[in-house]
Amino acid sequence: MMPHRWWLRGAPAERLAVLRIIVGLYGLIYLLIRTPHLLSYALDEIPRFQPVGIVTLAETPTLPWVYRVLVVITLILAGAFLLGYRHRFLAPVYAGMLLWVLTYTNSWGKILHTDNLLVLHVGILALTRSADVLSFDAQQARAKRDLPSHYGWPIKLMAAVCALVYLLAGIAKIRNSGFALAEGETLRNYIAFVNVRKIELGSAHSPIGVALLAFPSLFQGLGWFSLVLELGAPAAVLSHRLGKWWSWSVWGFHFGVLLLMAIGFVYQLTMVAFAPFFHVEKLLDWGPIARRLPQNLQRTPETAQTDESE
Amino acid sequence: MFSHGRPDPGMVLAQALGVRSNGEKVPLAPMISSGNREVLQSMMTIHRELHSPRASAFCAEIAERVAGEEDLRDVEQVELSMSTFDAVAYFEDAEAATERDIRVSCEVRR
Repeated sequence: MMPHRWWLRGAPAERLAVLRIIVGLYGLIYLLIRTPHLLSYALDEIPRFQPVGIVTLAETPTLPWVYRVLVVITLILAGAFLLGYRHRFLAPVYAGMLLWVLTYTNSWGKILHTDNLLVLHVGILALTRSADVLSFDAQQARAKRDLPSHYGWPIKLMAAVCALVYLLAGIAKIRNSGFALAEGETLRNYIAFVNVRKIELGSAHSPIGVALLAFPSLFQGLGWFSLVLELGAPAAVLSHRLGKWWSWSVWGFHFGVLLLMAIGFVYQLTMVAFAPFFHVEKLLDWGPIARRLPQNLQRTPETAQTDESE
Repeated sequence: MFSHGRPDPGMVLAQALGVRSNGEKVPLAPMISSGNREVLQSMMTIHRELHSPRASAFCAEIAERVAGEEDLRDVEQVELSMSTFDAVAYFEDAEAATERDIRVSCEVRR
C-alpha cells in the first residue's frame, strides 16, 4: 500500500472520540491526584529556578499565586477536554496549559520524562477532530461527524509518537553504550543503583529487585528484551496485530520496571499510552457502557463489522 | 531511561540524614529533606544546596521540618553528606558498602 494511502486510511469517528475520553479522563484524574505536588512548585526561589522548554520564555519564576491560578485553570480545562466542550477553542488551550504546567514542575533542577507522552497525546487530540462525536459539542450540534479519513491519521500519529518515544530511548542506549544493556551487568547495576538511591533518599524501594540481584544471568535476557522492544517499536505502527502485541509487551516491560525498581510509569501501566493501538470504540459495545449510551450513539452490528474489517 | 552504560556498581549521592539520640543515622524522606514529594527532585535539591554557599541555611531549614515531625522526635541532628556506595554490595552489608563524607551538620531545636 502507498504510504499516503496507509496514512489517510479512515477510522470511525468514535475511535478518536473514545481516545479523547480515555486520555482526557486519565489527564483529569492524574492532575487531581497530583494537585498537591503541582502546587508545591508555587515557589519564588530564584536561585533554584532552572527553566526548561517553553518555561525559558520567562527568566524568573511565575508569581506563586499566578502559578496556583494557572494550575486550577488547567484542571478546569482538563474537564472541558474530557467532555468535549468547546473543543476547537478550549482543547488547544488545555494542551498548551498542560505543557506549560508540567514543564514548570520540571524547571527546578530535575527533568522527569514520565509525562512527555501524555502531553504529546493531548496535543494531538486537542488539535484534531476528536470531539465530533461523544461530546458536548456533538450534542449541541457544534460539531458533526465527517468523512472517516479525518479520524484515522490522528490515531496513527498518536501510535507513531508513542513508538517514537521508545525508538529514541533505544537509539540513545546504542549511541551512548552500544549493547551494554544486553550484556546484563549494566541493567543489574542500574537496578541495584536505583534501589540504593531510593533507600538512601528515604523512599520505598523494591525488595523483589534486590532479591533478584543474586541472579546476574537473568538481567541479560531482560536487557535484550527491552532493546528489542525499543528498537522494534516502528513495526508496531505498521501492523495493527503487531501493535497490540508490542503494546502488551511494553506494558510488561514497565510492569517489570515497577517490580524491580519501584518506578511507576502510570500512563503506560494503565495502558492509556497504548490505547491508539487498539480499536477502543469497541468499549462502546460493552454492556454497562452500551446501556447508558443514547440510541443514536449505539453501534449497529453493521458498524461493528466495518470496524472489524479494517 | 538508563541510556548510559553502568559497568561499575559504584555511585555517589548527596543526601540528608537524621541522627537519632542513639547515634543511628536515618535517611530523611523527600518531604522533610527538600519539601518536595518527588525523590529525584529532592536529590537534585540536596545536591545543589550542599554545593552552594547557603548549605548551612538549607540544613537549618531541614532541621526545622524535622522538629515538626512526630515520627522524628528522637532525631537530634541533621547531616548533609556526599555518600559513596557500592550499590550491589550494599544489599549484602550496607555498612561496609557505604562511605559518608559529612559536609554540613546542624542541631534540631525543639
